[in-house]
Amino acid sequence: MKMIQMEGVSKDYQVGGAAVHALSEVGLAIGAGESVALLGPSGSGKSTLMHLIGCLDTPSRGRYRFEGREVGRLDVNALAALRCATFGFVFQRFHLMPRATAWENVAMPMRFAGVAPAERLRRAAALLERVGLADRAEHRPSELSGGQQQRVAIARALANQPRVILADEPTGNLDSVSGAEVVALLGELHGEGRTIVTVTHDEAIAARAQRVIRLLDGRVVADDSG
Amino acid sequence: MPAAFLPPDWQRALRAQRGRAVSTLLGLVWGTFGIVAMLAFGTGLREKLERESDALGRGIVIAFPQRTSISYRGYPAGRPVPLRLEDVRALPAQVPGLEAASPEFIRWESVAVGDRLLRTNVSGVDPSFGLLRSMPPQPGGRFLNRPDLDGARRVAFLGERICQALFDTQDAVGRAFTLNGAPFLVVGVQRPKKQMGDYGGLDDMRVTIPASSFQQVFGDRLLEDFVFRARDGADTAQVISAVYAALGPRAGFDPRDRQALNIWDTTEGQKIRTYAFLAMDLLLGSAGAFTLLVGAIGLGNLMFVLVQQRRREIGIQMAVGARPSWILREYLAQALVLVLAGGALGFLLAWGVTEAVAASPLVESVGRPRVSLPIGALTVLLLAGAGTAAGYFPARRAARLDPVEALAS
Repeated sequence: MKMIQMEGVSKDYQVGGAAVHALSEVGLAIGAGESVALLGPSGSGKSTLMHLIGCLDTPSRGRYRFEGREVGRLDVNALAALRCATFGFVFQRFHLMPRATAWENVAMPMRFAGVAPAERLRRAAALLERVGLADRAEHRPSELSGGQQQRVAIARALANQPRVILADEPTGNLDSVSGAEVVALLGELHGEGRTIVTVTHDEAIAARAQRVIRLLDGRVVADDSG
Repeated sequence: MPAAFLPPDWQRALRAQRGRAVSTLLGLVWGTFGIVAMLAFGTGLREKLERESDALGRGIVIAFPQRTSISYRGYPAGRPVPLRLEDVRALPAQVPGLEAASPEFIRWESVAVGDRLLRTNVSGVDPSFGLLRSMPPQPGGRFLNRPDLDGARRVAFLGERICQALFDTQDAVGRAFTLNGAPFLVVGVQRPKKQMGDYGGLDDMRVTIPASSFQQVFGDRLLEDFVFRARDGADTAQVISAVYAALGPRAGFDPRDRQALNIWDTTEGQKIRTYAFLAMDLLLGSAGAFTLLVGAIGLGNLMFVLVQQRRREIGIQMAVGARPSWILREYLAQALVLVLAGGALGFLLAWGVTEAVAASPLVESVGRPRVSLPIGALTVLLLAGAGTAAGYFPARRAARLDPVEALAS
């Protein structure tokens, strides 16, 4: 059985009284260590799919099993624990805590995993070093460039050594140089054996992944490897 | 310790709401100050009044013989009640609930030292009078005792003001003065006391001598009054009835004739005082509690604003693995830290004010305000309750946010 296994997964939202079918009958399987791009235009349901994979949300219908566990049956605390230990998120809008410094942002998930304060500081420093921002540790997000913010976000995603990195349009708000750096960094993480799922509408970025899953109107329309 | 649950950037988030945070804090400070200070002043005033009314005698009853209102054993109603020394001295044997009783003669007489002549109240009493009427001696002196009474000694216990007036000093033990021409020796001077309530003058101007000596000098046979106290745990009203029953047949009045004695039961006043102060504590306490309530509402509002303002950040925290219970704890902890800060400041302020008043001449009129342990405990409980109540609902709202929606905001 694959690490991520979805069968007939749908997600509906209520928007102003009308039901919106964000995802319909999606079935897919992603194995550990794969590098996957979810490709589609805006509104195709790719972000919703990423939220479901990352256990930020649960399916309206269908089954999602992560490492054999039925995610739909988990309560909010178990979902949080699963996210904390397993997934690292990288968002288009970075989503850093605006009032916290770079190292505090990187250390935040460690608090939720119960890491001791001294160890948090040490690990956060090492992660910032790794993304090339050791000298920006005390800076707030507003004092960093977009590329730097996204690298802090990647360091934060790595805080609890997750097996899966989920990146939602990670280069969407970056210039091409910074974007290339981020893509390279994600490639490195895949090289270390992590599973990488990248959400994008950009064919060029999707092409860097081993496998591209194309979505349109909430359905998987193509799934091609290599 | 709630600090462990606080996010690292909570102070910076609070700073963004500086105006709200400061006014909330002021509300909490003022509410705490209100409760603590008002109750502290209430305590001080109560203690002052109790001390001053105890100066007449704690829990005593003073009985003045009057005229009968019911005919008794052939005597018509309206006859004056003749009360003698032996009637009062027989009471302890007849009334089991009685702790002690003392007869009292009173006269307005002249006392003199050399050519200094003064007129004042002179009481002739038994030795138990000193304890009943709270007349402690200054060091080096004593109250009247049994041998003084038995030997009808010419000795006197002086109030501190009459002593000063006669001798220009408080150190008068062993000195002599004349009472109605008869020489008397001072054996004790009363410790200064503030007295609320009196009959026949204040004790600081009283000359007290043995009842036996009083009779020898003035020839009196009928008492002005007698003073007694019920034992601890005995019901004063029942003891009073027993006193009527015991004295009636001896002094010639019907034991049911309540007019025969004019009774001043000081325990009635104590009861009234107890209830009055309970009412005052409730009033002042609830005034303070309402102020605190307003502070708590302000705190609840501040917390709601903080949660609203940090929706996206809460979503981020949840995305990276914060459990809802952690978010709840985090916001509850912030509310409690604010309450702690406001409460501590308010407490300090109240403590400072009470100390300042305690050190000022105001003590004379309002008593010495005191922050007692129960007041402190009550305030801490109220603050903790207010903080939890004000913090809980905003915190729960934060914890229930849907992470996907919160991230989108």
